[in-house]
Amino acid sequence: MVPILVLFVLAAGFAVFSVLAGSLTGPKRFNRAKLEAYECGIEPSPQAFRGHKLPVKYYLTAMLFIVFDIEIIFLYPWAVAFDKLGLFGLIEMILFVVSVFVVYAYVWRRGGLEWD
Amino acid sequence: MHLSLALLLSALLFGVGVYGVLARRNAIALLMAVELMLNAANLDLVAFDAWFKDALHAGQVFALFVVVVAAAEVGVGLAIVLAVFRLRQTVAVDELRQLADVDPVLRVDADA
Amino acid sequence: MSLTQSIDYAAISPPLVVVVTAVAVLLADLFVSAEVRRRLLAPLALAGTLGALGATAWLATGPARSTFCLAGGGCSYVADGFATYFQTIVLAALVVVLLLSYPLFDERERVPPGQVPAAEFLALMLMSVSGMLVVAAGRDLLTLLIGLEVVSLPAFVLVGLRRGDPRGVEAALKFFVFSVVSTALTIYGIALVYGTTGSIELHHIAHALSTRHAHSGAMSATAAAGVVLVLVGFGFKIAAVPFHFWAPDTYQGAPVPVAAFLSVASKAAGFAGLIVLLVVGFRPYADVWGPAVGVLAAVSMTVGNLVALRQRNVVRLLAWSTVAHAGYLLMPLAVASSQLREGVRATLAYLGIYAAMNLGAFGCAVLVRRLHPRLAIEDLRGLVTRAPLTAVAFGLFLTALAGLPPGVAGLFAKVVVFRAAVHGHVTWLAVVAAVNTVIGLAYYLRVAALMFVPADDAPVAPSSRTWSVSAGVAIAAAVTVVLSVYPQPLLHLASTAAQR
Repeated sequence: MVPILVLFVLAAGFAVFSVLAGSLTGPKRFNRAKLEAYECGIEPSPQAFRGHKLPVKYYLTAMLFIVFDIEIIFLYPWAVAFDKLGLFGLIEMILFVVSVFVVYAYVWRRGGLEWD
Repeated sequence: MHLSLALLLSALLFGVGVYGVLARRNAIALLMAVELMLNAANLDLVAFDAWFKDALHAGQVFALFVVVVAAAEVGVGLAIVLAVFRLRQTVAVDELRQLADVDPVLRVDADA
Repeated sequence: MSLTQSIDYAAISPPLVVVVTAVAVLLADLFVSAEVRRRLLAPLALAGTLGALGATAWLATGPARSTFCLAGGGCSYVADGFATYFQTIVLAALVVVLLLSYPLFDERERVPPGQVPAAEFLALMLMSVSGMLVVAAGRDLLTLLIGLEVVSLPAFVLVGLRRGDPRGVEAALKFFVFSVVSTALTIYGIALVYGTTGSIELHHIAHALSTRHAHSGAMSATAAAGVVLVLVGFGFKIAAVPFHFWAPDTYQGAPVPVAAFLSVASKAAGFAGLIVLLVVGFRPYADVWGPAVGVLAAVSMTVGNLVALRQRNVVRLLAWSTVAHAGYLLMPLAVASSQLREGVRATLAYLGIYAAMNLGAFGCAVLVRRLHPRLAIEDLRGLVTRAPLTAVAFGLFLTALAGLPPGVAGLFAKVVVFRAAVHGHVTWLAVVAAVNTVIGLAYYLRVAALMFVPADDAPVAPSSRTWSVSAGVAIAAAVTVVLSVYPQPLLHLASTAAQR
């Protein structure tokens, strides 16, 4: 319990320190690049509508992402017990991954991955 | 850590979820409240698993499956909400009254 | 402890065949030409269903098989007489539902409004059925829950699948919201049961609960709360009052064959899970759930029948009638005593007969919808001159649901559940049910009589693909008639299924 608390305090302290230190010591010069999306590389497009509603296609992508992302959770317990499960586990996992790929093929052929 | 702390947190979380389900009319917010209820159950399952030192880890495995079930529900739920929004221009659950016990036949006439 | 298991693929063959068929239908839709699709998809799904039905029949003749077993005893999946009984009902119901829904299909790339995309419809329906087959054979809480979810998730989509139909999506959203909330309650209940018993396997739970029950206290109360919460989820699936609110709206908004599917197959799966839970897992708490189930049964039949009285739409009337029938089906389970086995047998027998007559009634609604899209009860006036065969079949099913000749099968079903209730000393419930049967007569007979009022209309010619609906209704009618004359085989099967 105590080590975790210490870790929390250290982490919070470092976050506060670095944000404050940056704004106190650094020079302040305008640069358009600073306002752009950091590291993700892609400009958000299309722009959100007035009224702050996201275009429907974002929901579709988010939905697909959530489903595929969560399915992979089943790989974790397998990875942990991989040695003990042996060939049996491998075959079962291949069956599982194949069924996920069937879904992927469906999404792809139905145009779920096309952006426009 | 004491088991009852986890159970108390879980009960509170579940209570918040139930309140959300009863009070919110936006379908998306309703979905989020249901997620809270599911995660309350997950917390219980994992806490009990740790408490029992369950050799089969039934609680953990169950929690894993609940996470997947929740994701699948959200996926289907969002798709339905999108379809409702496209056809009805609303996501407020109490504005969906085309199907109800009040004079269904007359209502059908009005639609046609 | 070895972590690897040997899987008995024969035991799980029915759901396996259904799932493989579902995937095959989806892939076929993606990779073959439109012309082939039109002739391939529906027969492929039907063939898969019949194959699974054959596998189930084969399993039913052999000894019980279990698989996914733990080292310390207890199996997650047991294909015994009970499981195969339910699997047969569900698969037979699927055959009829596929026939009923054939005119809805559209195999083209762009599906016109009012139709459903064929491949998605078939695949989703097969997936939902695979969940039902698993629920019937599942013997631990996790298998039951996952089975139940696999039933529900495709069902939400099926309800709202008709293109450009604002009522369909409304029905789907209502169904979805009620379902996920009740699932969340069930999962929380499961967490509590797990916390008080240390297991999710039903035999272990029963063992632990009996010691819990002996010592009253906080743990016993927690276990009782868990038991009740788990029952809520199943109460929703079988549309028992007060968990029925979704049913009328969903049935009315959904395509009629989907409503038939939900009211028979989905309800059968709910009952399979409910019976396994009550009889195997929660047996020690029979004094908690027994009265609760009794009250649910009484309230379901009373509310269902009373509200059905004032319905003016055929599908809504049938929806409220299924709510009432959930009450009749629950009644023998309220026995909760040494007579429980006879109660289970009565519920199983009733379910078999209910499946035939209710599918038939919904099938007739599909036929009527072709003539009268509003499906108002008033439209049925003089149906006998416009569609004589439909009117006769509909009359048969309605009298069977009411429990009157010529639909004697319904009468047999009622007698079986009444006898179980009286033998099990819940006579008050039998009295409530008797009063309800009389109320039921009022609305079933009103509709049946309306159809036979003479009118001077000409018969209407059938359109394309209606032959398949007629075939579905004919199958249901044949089964109902056979069960009216010769119900012994079904009763015998139900008793074997109840022997556990």
